[in-house]
Amino acid sequence: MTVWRLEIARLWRTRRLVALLGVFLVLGFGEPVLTYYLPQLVNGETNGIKIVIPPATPAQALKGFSQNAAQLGILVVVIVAAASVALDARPALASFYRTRIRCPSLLILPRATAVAVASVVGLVLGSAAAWYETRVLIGYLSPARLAAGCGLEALWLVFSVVVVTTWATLVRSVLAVAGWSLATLLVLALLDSITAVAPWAPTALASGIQDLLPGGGGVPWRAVAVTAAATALLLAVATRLARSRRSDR
Amino acid sequence: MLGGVPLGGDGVPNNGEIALSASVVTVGLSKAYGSAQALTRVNLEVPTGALYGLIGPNGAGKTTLLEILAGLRLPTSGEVHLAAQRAAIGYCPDVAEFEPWLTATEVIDLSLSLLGQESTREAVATVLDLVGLGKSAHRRVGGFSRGMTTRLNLGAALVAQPQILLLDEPVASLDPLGRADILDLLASLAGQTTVIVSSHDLSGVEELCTDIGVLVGGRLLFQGRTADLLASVRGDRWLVEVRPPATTVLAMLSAAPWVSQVKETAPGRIELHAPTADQVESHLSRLLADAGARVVALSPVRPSLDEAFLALTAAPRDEGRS
Repeated sequence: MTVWRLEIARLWRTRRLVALLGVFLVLGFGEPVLTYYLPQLVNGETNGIKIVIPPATPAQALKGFSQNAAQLGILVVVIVAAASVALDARPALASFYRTRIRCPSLLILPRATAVAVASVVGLVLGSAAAWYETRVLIGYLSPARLAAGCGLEALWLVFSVVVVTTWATLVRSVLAVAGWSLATLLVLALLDSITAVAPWAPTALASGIQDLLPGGGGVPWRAVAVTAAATALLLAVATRLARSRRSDR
Repeated sequence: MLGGVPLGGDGVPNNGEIALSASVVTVGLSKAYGSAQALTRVNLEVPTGALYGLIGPNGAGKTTLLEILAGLRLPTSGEVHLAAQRAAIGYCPDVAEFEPWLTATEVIDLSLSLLGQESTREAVATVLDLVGLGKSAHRRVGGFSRGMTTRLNLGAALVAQPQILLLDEPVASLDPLGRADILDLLASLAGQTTVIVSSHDLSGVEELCTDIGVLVGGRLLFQGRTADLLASVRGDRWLVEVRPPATTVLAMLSAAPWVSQVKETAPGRIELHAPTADQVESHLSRLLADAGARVVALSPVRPSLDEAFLALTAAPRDEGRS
């Protein structure tokens, strides 16, 4: 059993794959339905106040999916990634691996890759579901724009998994890894409020689908470059830290 | 010549080699956790192919020492010389854990794969049979008892045919039958594999190990042949068992000038101490005949490892001796 087969088995047998695919698929199928029926649910008159919501548009439905994927989706991805890459969370299990493998990064990288790939597959399936549901219920939108936006959000997911991987080489427990990772992503999200920094921040990719919808801001190339570079840098750091770590460090 | 993976105190490979017929040598090995000293200048020397018992009370530093040898911890100072590459060193922690969603077969297979060795179904099945898990080969290990996990732990180490095997409390969680099986299995490794066993089960260590190290408070108080440690305890005790009442025999033994101490530990069961074995052998049978005792059993009492350990640890010394 190679480490790659081990990671596929981990995703499948621990139901982590179900969690990763499930969250994006539920959002993908659910958000267009909610957007479609929202005017009917909300429109009306209560205590003399009349609420009027305009009819749903395809862009609204996909924007809703993108927003929820960036919040709920990333939360699930971080928790699943932390549970997978926190190699030293269980010392007895860690000793089984550490006494057999030359370099811990040979274990951690397949784990991170498996979670990242499963997350991206989940995002793609969820986006496809959202597009299909939107087309059936609301109207047509170019799938090319959605695919490009999906690519940006996929890069954001991969970056998030690498942030988790880096934290896993610094702290031990799953809770600590997940907590510090979420805190890091939250701090990055705060950078969005600084006008000068926002175009460069990786969090700009979290709304990739929204940016490429009609009326969006287009491809945030500066954020793409920064995120790609930061992902590579963090991977190198994680690899180095994993190699030098011992049980008592 | 020892090659292997010598480590300096800073964890940097040490190029120095030591010419010894030992597989594991530590030189002045010390380990501190903050202000707590876990190991102090430990000079371990484990002969190649030996079954080496590492005994000591809780907190003596046994696990720390094994973890340093396994490469899981770095020493604060001192050197470790191992006559094997890292991949040829098996380590079984006292509490083993595996991915609960893997089967026993997959764990053994994974163990080989992680070490970069080819795995065959036959090899995996043979090892599982060897450790008594043949019937549970395809069960997920999450449902294993602690004893079964311990057996799997040993199997995962043995499958790679290690040159050095480090075992931390290998029989602690096993039932008597399982304990006997594992001790037999380890005994069968003598001469082929250098085995270091850390254990509180002194009778098991006495039964199994040819060599022994006594670690107390992070210091190696004794190191050498098990027989030498046992011989260091005065062996002048004899057990006499007669049909009760033993009043006459007791009175005569108490009066005998060659008996230093005598007591009845149970009805008819008498334990006596004598300064020399010669005097007991010369006078005891005649005394029993004179007392008209009906002798059931008569034997010298061999000191156990428990007694040797207690005698040794009662007066700890600073340095280990060979």
